[in-house]
Amino acid sequence: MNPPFALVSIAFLLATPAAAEKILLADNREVLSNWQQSAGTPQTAELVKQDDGGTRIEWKGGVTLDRYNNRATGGTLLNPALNGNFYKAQVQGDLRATAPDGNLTYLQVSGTHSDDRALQRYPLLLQSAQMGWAGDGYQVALGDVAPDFSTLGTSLGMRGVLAQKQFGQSVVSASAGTLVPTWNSLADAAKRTQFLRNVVAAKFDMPVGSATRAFISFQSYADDPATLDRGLSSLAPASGRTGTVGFVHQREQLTVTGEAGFSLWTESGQSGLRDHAYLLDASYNGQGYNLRGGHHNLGVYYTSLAAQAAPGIVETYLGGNWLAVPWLTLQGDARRSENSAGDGTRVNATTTDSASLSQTIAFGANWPGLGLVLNQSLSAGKNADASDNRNSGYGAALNYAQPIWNTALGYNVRKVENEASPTADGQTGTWNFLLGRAFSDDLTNPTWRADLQFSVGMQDQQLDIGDSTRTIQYAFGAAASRVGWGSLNASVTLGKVKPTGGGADLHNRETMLEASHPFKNGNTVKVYARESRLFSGDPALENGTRSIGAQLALVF
Amino acid sequence: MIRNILTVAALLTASPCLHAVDNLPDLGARVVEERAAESSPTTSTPTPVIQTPIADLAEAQKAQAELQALIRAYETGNINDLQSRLDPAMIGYQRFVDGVIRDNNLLKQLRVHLFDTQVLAGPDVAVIQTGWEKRFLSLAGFQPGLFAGRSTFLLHRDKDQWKIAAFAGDNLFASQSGVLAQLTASPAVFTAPAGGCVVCPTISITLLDPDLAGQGTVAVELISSQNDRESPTLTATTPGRFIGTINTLIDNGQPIAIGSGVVDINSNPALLPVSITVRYRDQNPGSNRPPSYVSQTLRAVP
Repeated sequence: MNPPFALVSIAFLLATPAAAEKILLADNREVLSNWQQSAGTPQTAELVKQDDGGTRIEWKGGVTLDRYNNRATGGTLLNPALNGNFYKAQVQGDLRATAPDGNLTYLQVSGTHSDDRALQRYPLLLQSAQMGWAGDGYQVALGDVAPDFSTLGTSLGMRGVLAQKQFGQSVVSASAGTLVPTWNSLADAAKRTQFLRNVVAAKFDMPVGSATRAFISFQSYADDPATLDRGLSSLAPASGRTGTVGFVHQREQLTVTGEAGFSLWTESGQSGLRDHAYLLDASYNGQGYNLRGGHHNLGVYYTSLAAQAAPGIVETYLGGNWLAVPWLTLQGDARRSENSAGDGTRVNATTTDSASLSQTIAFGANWPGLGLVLNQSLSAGKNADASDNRNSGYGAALNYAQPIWNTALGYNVRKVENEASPTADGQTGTWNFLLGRAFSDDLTNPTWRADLQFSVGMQDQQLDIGDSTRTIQYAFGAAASRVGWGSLNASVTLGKVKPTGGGADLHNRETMLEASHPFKNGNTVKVYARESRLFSGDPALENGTRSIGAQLALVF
Repeated sequence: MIRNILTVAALLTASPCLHAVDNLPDLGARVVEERAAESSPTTSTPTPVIQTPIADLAEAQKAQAELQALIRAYETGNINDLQSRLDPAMIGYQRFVDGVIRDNNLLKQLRVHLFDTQVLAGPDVAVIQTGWEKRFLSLAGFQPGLFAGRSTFLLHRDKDQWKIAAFAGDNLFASQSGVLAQLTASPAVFTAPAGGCVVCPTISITLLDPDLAGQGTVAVELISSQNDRESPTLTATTPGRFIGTINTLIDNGQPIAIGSGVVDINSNPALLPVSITVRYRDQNPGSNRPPSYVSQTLRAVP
């Protein structure tokens, strides 16, 4: 099926009621529904049309409708929730047509309509929209696309087009589009707070030998000054061009990747700045151990379309895991990092040497489910003025996990010192304890199940200047479910905080109750009530939210 | 063994009970399982040339759940759990981890609110774009504070688990990893009387740069179109929030003295209006953007 014809076919199927009548329900639908209920999560419905030798059409979709009331206090500085009655309707669908020759045409859409502006700034938020077609050795995608060409080149999400074509063992990829926070701000200039950024990228990838692939990529972007009213952006429009070359080598347990890039970055009204970057990463999975290491060097003015490519970072690292003996696993990591972005600030380290180590101990068959984890870490940094910026920590966690009982006890200490900001220097100790109990008629194949869990946590922060703050939280939770009936969840959290510098304790209380009931075909209805009150004891900090609502989830 | 570590971390941070949130139905979970089975350890064949173009809708929910778990670890200060969810090869790994530790030391009662969240999940790459607000109480004095920004999270699928590979936009978790500073100055427009003024306007400046949380002061620049240049110092009120003022001196024929500590404005009508640009060099503005000036322009009119 050629692509345009496939798209027309999809549109026809969506628009023609008669077409839906031809779609047959799978015979095992009822079985699937029962399984879904026992699994505790609604499963998708699946409509399948598979005429002999014809195109197979699959349609999966769901709608969730929420209606709820919020009572929020405290103001926006303390509480993001808004007062009032709100609704939320989420819709998502996935339509795929698979031709006999394996060619795939698809359309996937997800969106939310709501009047709750704490949830979304626009009434209709198109969360994702993508369509495309793929066949033997090619694919084309439109809408939300995520080209992932390389670490120093292009790796991001954007609204546009992505195409890939295979020539023998070589692949040409190209993408073009716009970087913009939401579909809404792409469509409406009044909703923009930043320039639209037009981007284009291409990559050529080819084999070099039996275990290595090499690639070259080019990418370019430019902010469009005409897309935003003057004065709305505090940043000048910018443009960038980047070229990279790299390789991926995979042979048995060894993987090595390397890439080098060169870029030109230009801010409007300024001369362009050239910079470069390179990286090398390797990992090896041996018998009972794993090693990894690498070096990254990105110039402070390096620019690209890759989300990973943070400019101004130079780092070298070595780490791995080792099953030393059957009861002991060691995990370690050591690295040296330079951070050019720390220049010009006083509190951020510009060079850091760091190491972390953990030991996981299993107590063997005589103590099934019992384990101990120890960890230590150190980060010794220097600020731009050569002052120290360090943190260190160690901890231990003992855990016991069995089908009926589980418990854990952990303690962690962390010390922070920054000579550029000494008032926050100090040590924080944290205790955690958890105890859980499961009840069921049959743990391996339950028709009903109930879980109880209690936890307590305490954090004590002692500052070197003499002040201190302490937080204690107690939590109790219960969850129960029965096949065919649904589930019930409830929890209560109580806590108090002792403010730094003294004063009355601040209290918090959070409660939650939810009940859901499944219907046929994976549809569910849920009612819920949640309340949180924070920091009672200080009127200036007190805030809270109470929500009561109902939800209907339908799959089709 | 590694799974044991994660189990312990999860147990220590677990919510007291399982509870269903308002997610859409779990579409296509079987496909997730099938894909997990497909992603067996790598063979000697290099990276696949063209992959399946589209992921199941359930993958988007799994990716979003991973981000939520990371946020919970950040809010509760569980550094070990947070580290276990990162790719050790992430560029800027240590800067990120140290930033999280510093945030948890300086900012108490952290609460993150996401809005306008959009998730795009491919077979092996997922992208989450979201607006965020981060509320906290400052360690010193327990003063409430609010940071806001927009982030893009890049996740890579590692067998059946999504792992955070990179953060773009404003970094939600580790302030020093890059958040675009917000600079505001007022009044945006003020009058420069030809005959001078008895009480001349004062320019108020507020800078919000979470990357500088913990720093006591910061300097900004003022540059006027009459060639005055001043560098007032702003003082931190809560972590990352700095405020300051600078006076103006307005008169007809007022001499311009660079670095005098006041903004000199010659109110000769022939030389008006005067534009005054307040700017701040953000060393790490986020979005993987090189150091850039953030600026706002004021105007003195006849």
